[in-house]
Amino acid sequence: MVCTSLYQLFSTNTYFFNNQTVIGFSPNRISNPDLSWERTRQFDAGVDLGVLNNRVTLTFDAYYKETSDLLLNVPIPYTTGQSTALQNYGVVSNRGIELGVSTQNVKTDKFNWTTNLVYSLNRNKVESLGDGVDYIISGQSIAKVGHALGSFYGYKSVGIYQTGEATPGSIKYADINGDGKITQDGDRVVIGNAQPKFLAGLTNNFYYKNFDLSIFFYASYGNKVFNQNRQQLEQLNGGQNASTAALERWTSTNPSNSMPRPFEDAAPIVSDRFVEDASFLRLKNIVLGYTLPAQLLKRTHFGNVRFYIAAQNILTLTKYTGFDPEVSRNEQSTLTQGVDYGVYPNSKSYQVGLNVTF
Amino acid sequence: MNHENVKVSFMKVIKYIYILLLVGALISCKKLDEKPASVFTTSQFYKTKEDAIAAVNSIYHAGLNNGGVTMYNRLIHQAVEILSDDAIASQRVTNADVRAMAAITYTTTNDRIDELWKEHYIAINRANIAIDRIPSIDMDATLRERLVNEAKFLRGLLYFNLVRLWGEVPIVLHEVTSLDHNSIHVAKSPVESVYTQIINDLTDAEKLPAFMGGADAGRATGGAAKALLSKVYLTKKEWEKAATKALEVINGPFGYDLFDDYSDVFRAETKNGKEHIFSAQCKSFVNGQGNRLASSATPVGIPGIAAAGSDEPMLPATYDLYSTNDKRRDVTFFTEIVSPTNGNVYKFPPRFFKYFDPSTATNPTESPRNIPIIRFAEVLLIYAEAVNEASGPGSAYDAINRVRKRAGLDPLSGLDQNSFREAVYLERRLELMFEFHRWFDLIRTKKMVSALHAVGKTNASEKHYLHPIPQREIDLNPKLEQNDLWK
Repeated sequence: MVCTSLYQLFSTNTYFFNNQTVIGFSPNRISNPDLSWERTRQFDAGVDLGVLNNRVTLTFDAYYKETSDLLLNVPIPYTTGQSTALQNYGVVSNRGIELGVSTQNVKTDKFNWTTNLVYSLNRNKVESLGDGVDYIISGQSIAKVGHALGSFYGYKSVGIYQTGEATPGSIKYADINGDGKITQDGDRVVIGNAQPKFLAGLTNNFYYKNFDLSIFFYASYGNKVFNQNRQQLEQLNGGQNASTAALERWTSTNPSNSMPRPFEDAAPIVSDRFVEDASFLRLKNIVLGYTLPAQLLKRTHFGNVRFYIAAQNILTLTKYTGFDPEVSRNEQSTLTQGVDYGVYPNSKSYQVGLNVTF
Repeated sequence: MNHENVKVSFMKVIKYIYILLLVGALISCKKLDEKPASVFTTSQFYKTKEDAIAAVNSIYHAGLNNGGVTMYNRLIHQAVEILSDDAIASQRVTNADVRAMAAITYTTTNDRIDELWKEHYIAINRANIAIDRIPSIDMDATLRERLVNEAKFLRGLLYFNLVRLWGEVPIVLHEVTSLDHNSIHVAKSPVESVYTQIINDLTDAEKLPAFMGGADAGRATGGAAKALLSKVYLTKKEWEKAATKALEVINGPFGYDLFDDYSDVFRAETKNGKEHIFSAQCKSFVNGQGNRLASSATPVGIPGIAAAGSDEPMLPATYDLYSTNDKRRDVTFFTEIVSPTNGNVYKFPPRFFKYFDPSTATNPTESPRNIPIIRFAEVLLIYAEAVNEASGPGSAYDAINRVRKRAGLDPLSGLDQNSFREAVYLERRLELMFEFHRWFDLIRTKKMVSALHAVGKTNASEKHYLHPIPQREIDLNPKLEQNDLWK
């Protein structure tokens, strides 16, 4: 309920006259007096149930969320003197389901086993953008009406020209509009999306005598990442570093259909060659602990003593060739999700610990 | 009174207070107008003389030397000059977009072209704001008019770059204050309209004082406006006007002359001197606004000198153009350096030398040398070229021979119009090398494709006479059309 109007603010610049430093001021944004908060309407329907004396509990939720007046740093033409303007710009819908199942599989004096499964599925769609605009292109990403946010936009590659064809060794791109040329305006298409088809988490907790073991798996399926690192490392222009993929490059004796020949001064191109499936299954957390038995504690002042060893991110199954399929979703803007460009990966870690209660 | 009753009435009071607060919260401000005290806003600015000066200073900053790789401080080299037959990208250039510019393989998505367009329009926006807002400030009328004319000079220079590089471009003359589509989507205008605007701005700027000295040394002057205008007319092939305007500069009350020593044109000690009509000002160790061209031209591998070494002359073509007695050769190129750490002399194939300063040898990026944008020698050559085109060499010999004499070369005589024309083109190349004129000269004389093919840049073709409009601008602005040959 609290709104502010946005003023133009200033940045300082230095220049020199007679070798003395002078200061200049200029506005660093265009003011937007119509700025307001985002509005979300949400419909929810759900079921919570427990069966078998609550040994199996289930919650299920289906939702439809519509966010309008989306706050977006909308790119604007440089001819305005600025690059972006914060505006309420568009309507985005998210619909999906969330499912949680908890089961108490085994419950005896000595051994307990519970399982908890969460599953969520979300479908995002850009319902409209401001001012009747149909799309916003931001680098390799596009926000297009009717598609999900985080779509990638570029050329579609269909192999490599071989000896005897037009330009042997260079990449063949699909001529979408059939005009015989490969152009930015005519031949770019949506080549993938950063949003996952579903996310799932599975936790298993075991208790045996004084031991406890917790294993947490986390999975994301269907999300894609634009591997910009590869775009740079597979330039093959002789002026910068290349990955070992360069060993597979096209030569007349190695007629590869996926790696082009080196080409001096090739400019970086956005194409589906760098859009990769970043679905993954990760052993996110595993903890094994041992609590000292009550008899041993009676003689001490401690209320409780537990040793544990734990590990995070120790196992990842993924086809993604970059360092980490999960980093791409950290700290990305609404418009350019899922881009991996030198992002620092999540690390494996191991801990040993001791809990003591006095 | 019993304890229970007190408690009940107390609870009732609390309940009513809660209700009141809730109601209050619901009906309170829907829109809260904050006036943050720690930031400046446009409604508080543009009120005093200092504000006006600061507004114009910011145009110089954005349009000439922004800190980092910007405008005249290397961006124009990366996005314009490196395409020419004077320069290539050395092996140390790792930026694929710069390499693509040098090899003429760039596309509409090249980020150097994008950056150059962007910086021009950012600076133009600042000029528009100054021109719109300063006239209503209550201050000394002479200073007020001078500041507006400085802004117009800079705007003229910026649009002159845009029209030469991109041809038809959007003309934006006022501050953009609204985000609605009609304000931010501007279609491009015909080349002639852009030139008309440039000529209007520069004609107004001719009223600037003839001389800006003391604390104002480096600001635009009336002489700078006339000199730039003569160049505009030359580019448009309006020879008579170009010659007349150049003569106004040569004979005017500006005190312009050639330095006796060619190296004085570039040395930091003689900056903003009698030959400098207008230069981009650089200063060491302030916000990255030292002369970076020095670092990018200096070779690497010399102990104690932290250079980038990424700008290389096209060799041997450029070095061999100079005859051995041409005094300009060893100011334009160097072939050896003394290491500040071990005192040894290191030799290397010729590299550009104009901006390297011995006072910042260990850190060439911070060179204090200015970057000339127009200087007197060029005005003499503009005069010579224009007169020759209009009526043959005749009175053009004096002008070109003044430049040649300073260079230690023999005067020219007895040439026909065609040979004189070629002599002027060559003289321009020798005199102004690495000062961002070569590419512009190649495209205005229609020699770009043959010249580039002659030195091995065989990708050059007709379409490269104009830069492509950045793809981003085309994507974001439905009213903007790409240049024909780039579609």
